[in-house]
Amino acid sequence: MTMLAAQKRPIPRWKWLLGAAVVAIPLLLGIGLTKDPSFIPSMIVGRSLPSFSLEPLAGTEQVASEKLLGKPLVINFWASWCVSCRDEHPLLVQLGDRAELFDEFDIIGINYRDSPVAAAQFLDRQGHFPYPSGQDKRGRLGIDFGVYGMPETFFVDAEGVVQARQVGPLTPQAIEQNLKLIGAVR
Amino acid sequence: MKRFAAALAFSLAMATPAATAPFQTESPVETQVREIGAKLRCPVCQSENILDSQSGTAREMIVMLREQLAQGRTEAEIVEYFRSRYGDYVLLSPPVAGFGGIIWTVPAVLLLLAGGACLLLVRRSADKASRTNEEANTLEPLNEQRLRRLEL
Repeated sequence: MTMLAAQKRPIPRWKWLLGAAVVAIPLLLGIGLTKDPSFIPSMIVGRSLPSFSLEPLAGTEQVASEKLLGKPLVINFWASWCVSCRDEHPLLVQLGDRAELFDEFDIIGINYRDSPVAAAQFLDRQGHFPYPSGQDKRGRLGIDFGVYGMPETFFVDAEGVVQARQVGPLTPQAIEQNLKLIGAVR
Repeated sequence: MKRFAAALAFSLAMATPAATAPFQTESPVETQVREIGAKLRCPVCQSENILDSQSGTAREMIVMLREQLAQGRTEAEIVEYFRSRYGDYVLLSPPVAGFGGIIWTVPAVLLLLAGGACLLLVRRSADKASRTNEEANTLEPLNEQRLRRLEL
């Protein structure tokens, strides 16, 4: 290339386009990498609670959705084989005590794809919940809720509409925020 | 000849069913279970259909699939059943309508654009080559104007 041509020639448009693509493609890929590919958006949020009646883990009274209508409700899916369920366990016990004390909301557990013996051992070790747990041995109710990871917690308002879902262990912030959402905080 | 024809007819009669009939007859419901199961993604694994997955959830989904087929539900109804619980995630090939449409159309559009660009480039360089040839074959003196033309 001579000096003569180098001075006068403007950068062609295709070079701009190529440059833009070279910048944009890694940028988009980079954004994609920050997202969790296993995350599944919830289909149940905004819909009514599926009806269920489960055998209890302890005692004789069925854990049924019918009895829980008319009050904000927290539903926690847990299992003895789930490692991160241990992390949220003390928070759930506290939450159960709070539900009993202030009567602002109900809370139940769903023991998901577990054996009653293993579940009982887990509770003996970690501490018992002050609320009942129903057994979802085959995970059918879990499928109705769109559960894919353990633990998962659902927040249902007094009208029976699911307002929020938390995937993974609960945190105090998540609890407060979602309880407000279902009108369980005065 | 007659004997040969008879032998041929016999061997054909023996050969055809053996070649077409499967070794074990599968019930049509099981064929359907496999067809639908291959289209549904296991929610607890990544990029695996519920037939291949060893997870408990996937196995339960197969059981449910079988039950629903036995109840006389159609494929569309069963797929919708799982879709209403897990969303489009549960479909191994995204739907053509809605957001899924982008996934299907973008590669085709890009391919067309790239093809067009290639064609344009090839044509342009062919033009340039013929022009430089012409230029080289003239007896015009090499002045600044001609030099610039050659550069292009």
